[in-house]
Amino acid sequence: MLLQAWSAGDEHALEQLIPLVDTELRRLARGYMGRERRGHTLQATALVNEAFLRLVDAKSLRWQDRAHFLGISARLMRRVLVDHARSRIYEKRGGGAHRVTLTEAILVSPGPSLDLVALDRALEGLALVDARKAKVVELRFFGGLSIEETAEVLHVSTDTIKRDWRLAKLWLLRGLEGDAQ
Amino acid sequence: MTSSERRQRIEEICDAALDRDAVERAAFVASACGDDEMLRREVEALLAHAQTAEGFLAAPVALVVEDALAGDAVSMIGQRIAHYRIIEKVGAGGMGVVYRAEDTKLRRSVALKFLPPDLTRDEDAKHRFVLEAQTASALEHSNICTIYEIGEAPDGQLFLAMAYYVGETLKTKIDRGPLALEDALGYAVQIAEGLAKAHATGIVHRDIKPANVLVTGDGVVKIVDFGIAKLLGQTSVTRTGTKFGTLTYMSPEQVAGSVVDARSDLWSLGVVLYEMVAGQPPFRGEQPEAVTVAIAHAAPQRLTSLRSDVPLALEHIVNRVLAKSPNDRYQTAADLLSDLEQIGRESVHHPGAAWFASKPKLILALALVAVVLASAAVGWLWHRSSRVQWALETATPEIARLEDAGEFVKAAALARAARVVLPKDPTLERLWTRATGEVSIVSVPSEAEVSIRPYRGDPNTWETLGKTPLKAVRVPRNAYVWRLVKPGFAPAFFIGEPPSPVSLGEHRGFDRTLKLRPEVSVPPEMVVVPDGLTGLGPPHGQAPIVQIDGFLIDRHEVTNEEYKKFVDAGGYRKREFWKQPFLKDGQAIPWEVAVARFQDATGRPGPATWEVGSYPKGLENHPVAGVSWYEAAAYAEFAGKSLPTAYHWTLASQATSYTPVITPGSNFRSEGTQPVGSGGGLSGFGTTDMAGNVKEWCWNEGRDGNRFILGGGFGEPMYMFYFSDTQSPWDRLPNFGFRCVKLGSAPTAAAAAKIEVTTHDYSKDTPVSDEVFKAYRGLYAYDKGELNARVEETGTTAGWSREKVTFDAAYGHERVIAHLFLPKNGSPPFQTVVYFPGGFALTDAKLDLSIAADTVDFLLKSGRAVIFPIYKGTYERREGLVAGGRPTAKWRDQIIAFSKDLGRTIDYLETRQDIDSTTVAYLGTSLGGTQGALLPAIDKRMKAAILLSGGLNVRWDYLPEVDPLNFVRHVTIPVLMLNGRYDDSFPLVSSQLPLFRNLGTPAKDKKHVIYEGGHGAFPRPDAVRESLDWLDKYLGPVRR
Repeated sequence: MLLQAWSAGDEHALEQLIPLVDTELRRLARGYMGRERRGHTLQATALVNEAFLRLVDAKSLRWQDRAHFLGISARLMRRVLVDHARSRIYEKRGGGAHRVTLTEAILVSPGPSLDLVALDRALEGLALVDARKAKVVELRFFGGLSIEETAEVLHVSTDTIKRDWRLAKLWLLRGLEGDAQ
Repeated sequence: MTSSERRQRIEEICDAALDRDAVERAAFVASACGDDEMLRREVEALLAHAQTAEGFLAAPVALVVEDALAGDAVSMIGQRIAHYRIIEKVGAGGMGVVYRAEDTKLRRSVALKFLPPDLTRDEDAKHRFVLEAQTASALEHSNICTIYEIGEAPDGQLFLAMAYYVGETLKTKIDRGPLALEDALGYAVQIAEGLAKAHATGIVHRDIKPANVLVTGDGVVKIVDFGIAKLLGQTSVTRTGTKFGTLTYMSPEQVAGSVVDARSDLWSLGVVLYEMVAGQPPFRGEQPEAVTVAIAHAAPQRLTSLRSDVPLALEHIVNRVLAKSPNDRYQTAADLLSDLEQIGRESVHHPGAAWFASKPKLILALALVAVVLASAAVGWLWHRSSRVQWALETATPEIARLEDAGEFVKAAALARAARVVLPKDPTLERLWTRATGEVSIVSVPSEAEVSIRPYRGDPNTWETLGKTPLKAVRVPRNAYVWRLVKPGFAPAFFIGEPPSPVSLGEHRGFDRTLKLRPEVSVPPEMVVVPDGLTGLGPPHGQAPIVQIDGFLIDRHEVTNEEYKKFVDAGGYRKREFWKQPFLKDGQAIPWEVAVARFQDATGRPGPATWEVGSYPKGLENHPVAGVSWYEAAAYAEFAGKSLPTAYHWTLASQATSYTPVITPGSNFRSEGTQPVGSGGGLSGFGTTDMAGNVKEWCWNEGRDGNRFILGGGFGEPMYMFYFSDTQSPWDRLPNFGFRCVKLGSAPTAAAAAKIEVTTHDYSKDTPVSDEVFKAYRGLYAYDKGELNARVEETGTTAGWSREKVTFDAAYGHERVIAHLFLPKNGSPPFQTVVYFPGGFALTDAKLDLSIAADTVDFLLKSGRAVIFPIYKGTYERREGLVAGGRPTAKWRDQIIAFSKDLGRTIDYLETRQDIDSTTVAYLGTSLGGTQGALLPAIDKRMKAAILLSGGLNVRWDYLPEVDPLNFVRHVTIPVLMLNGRYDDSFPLVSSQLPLFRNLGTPAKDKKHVIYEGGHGAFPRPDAVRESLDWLDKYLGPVRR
């Protein structure tokens, strides 16, 4: 199973899973577009959960894999959204309007004045010295996971997650200093 | 410690510090870090973000459903529609897509809302829409988004041009979670106010929901899309599914497709209020059908059961608004408003909320009484309502405007009047708080009368605030002279500017305790300085902070007339006055030899500016000038006083807090002394001329046997009031003078100590490698987006014309301001000099244009243009940074912003036909001189640089990525440096020379001119000649 392989530390498994999840997310996104009026905001986590439910059906994933799946989805969300943000910057700089992401249907709204590309870079920096904290941020922010869910995915206590989350934000902000655009 | 252990330690301290409140935090960090300075800096750098971190990543990344139209939207950017130029997309919704655009006629930002094409496809529908929108556009109210125009794009699409507000929608706020009760009520009140106005005009909104309520940065609510819902046919649920978002806020009659009136809007407001408080709407369901049923039949969950701080009275109001039958609701917005305001008054601000909430019947009874009384006084009410209207519609926006313009005194006066009519109005209260600052004054003994007058006002017009102790009085933000008067005691004066919420931290706290002195003990020529703590100005900013006991100081600098008494009394012949040992280069000099050196211009004993034993005719009231430290000390002995220590002097001057207030009226710019006390440059505690006129000798020894001489003198830059200088005790320059103090007892060892600057010696440092430099340079990169440049104002004189321009900064949503001076003496395209000011700009409120013009008039006369960018953190854009580079991370951001602002300035110059952007030079003074070692390494478009009083800054804390040392090798353009040999801020050996030597410029294209003077003090004619020669040589001749 790809998921178990990934949770066992096989990053390669992630690469194989991504297209599956990506396809599912896109499909769902289009579905949302049909149902919802323009401008409707969804939380990433809703989309991710729904994608999981569908994949459970389709790929006979087990419920216990949910935590792993959330981990993957958060990673994927991050990748997709950061790519999207980059392509927007590219467009702004006068490049072609080549849009390659999930965002055919969905625009990203990370909140005022947050630069996803810079955040991604800061997260990479953080991961080098403190992988768990970076993971916590990925799960919480990109995956939309609660403290409890994050604790479940990372097999640590909620107190640890709370502490990690609080400190990680400080490190990230420090990392983002001077990067602000 | 390994780096991971260190990191762990940092985190432990941060984690523990975060559990403490801001007040305790600093002390905790200091004690937890002990002597480990690096550790402390790291922890502080992290904790600096503690407040930001709370809101940071607070909600997971959200996705917005869009459709293929989004593609079109991108292509709209930059297009012109009528006289609007589209700048960016700011939102999209069922009502269409919204862009920020520039109104090219009126030069203002507007929001353009394009309506969905299918809603206006036939002419009939269009016509109806335009009519309705016209009615809506007639609404004028501070809580209703102003509609400027209804227009039609070339493709037939209709659009609305509306006021553009910076802020966010209520929806965004609610998405983050329930609001503070006070905020929720404040917003509800404002929405109700807007609705009351619209309903009075006969307009029903029909689609009140959080997404249609904007909240500006000031917390002012703006309702958008008035009356438009009707046109969009969204008042019924015929198109199930597409209405889901709006359904939540629809009234039962709306859902049922019946006729709706104003009361339906009130229902929707009730839903919004409920959601603000509870964090969730009252009627929910998985499917639209379920929501419909809930709206029609279900009772909402009780607010008090969802949140403990909800007063019962609020629940009653919400229940009444959400009554299923319109007849059971409030009948008008005004009725609702008065109940909401009542809650705002009684429950939120008042500790007796519980009692209040438990007595609804009593309130009803009271309300009835009120109604009876009110109807008996309709005339009065009418009068009051017009006053209320004035307060809301005239006064409130005007106050906000005045505050934005920095006119706090006028804003406060207006707010004071409006608050009488509208007490407790949340908007007014906010504006009042913003325009005023809180002050507490205690005196020992108490019962002294406190009065104030504006610093720059009539010296004889005092306004009395009350008697001490004064507790938390709010005073309009302004610089004042404060006076305490009590019979039998000497009056006490000081300068003070109440701190405001925004400038907090910029000034020391405004909580003063003053000890009054008995009147009899104060000689008339002296004033009282109360106890206080003080440090010294830069470059001695890291000298210890010292507690000083109250003392007396001369009101004026010692005058020629006063000094003549000393001379006539045989001052230079009587050894008893000369108690300080004479030292020169470490060698003791006999008294006879030393005193023989102190001659006037004619070789007689006396100050260097005198002739034949007396001062020049007519200068009796001028300060004595041209005296050495030894002479000053001997005079003090003669007068039975002493020289102030640098600490006593600094405390008395209030220089460190109020430099920008005090210096403008002081004598810095003239060619000589002026009579003492004549310039209006009142310094702290009733003294005059501590800023400027003559520099004043102080007791303390500095480096190399120098003595402190403070306050700056004529011919020096104004910031010398705040900077601390030392000079040889033998020197007798024509702007060297002094004043005396009377201390209760000898100064403490700390106050009288020798103070040496432990400067960073750059001559021993090595810059980072080229690779690292390249990485650093990346921090300064920015996207060359559109400038959206605007000329804001123009002015002209015989010699030049001036334009104030603004353009988009390279970061955030900020605008860079720049003043461009164009010469009349020359023809375009002009060579241009970009100016960078001294550190004074960080504390000065505004660039003084006349001084700016004077500073560079030689450049204008030479036919060159000069541009003064208002760099981020300076002048009008200042952010409370003070010289010293702390906190370091903020200082780093600042410098990067300086660089981007400079880059954008040159971007702007490139767009102008009348500027030759291939011949741009850099002119920096002091701080600007330091930055001259960095900025031209980043932006290569400048062709030459002139650095006045610059150097590698030896006292400020720089992170390596902004330390000019690491950049100076990459500055390769021709550089002219003009410096003073005795510059204490940028010492020759440790600061000036390292900059000069490290320049990447070939030796033949750099020049260092060293004058015999201090910081900024060099002969102007020569400096002008050097500068013009330099520009002529490297920019080429000027076109005539």
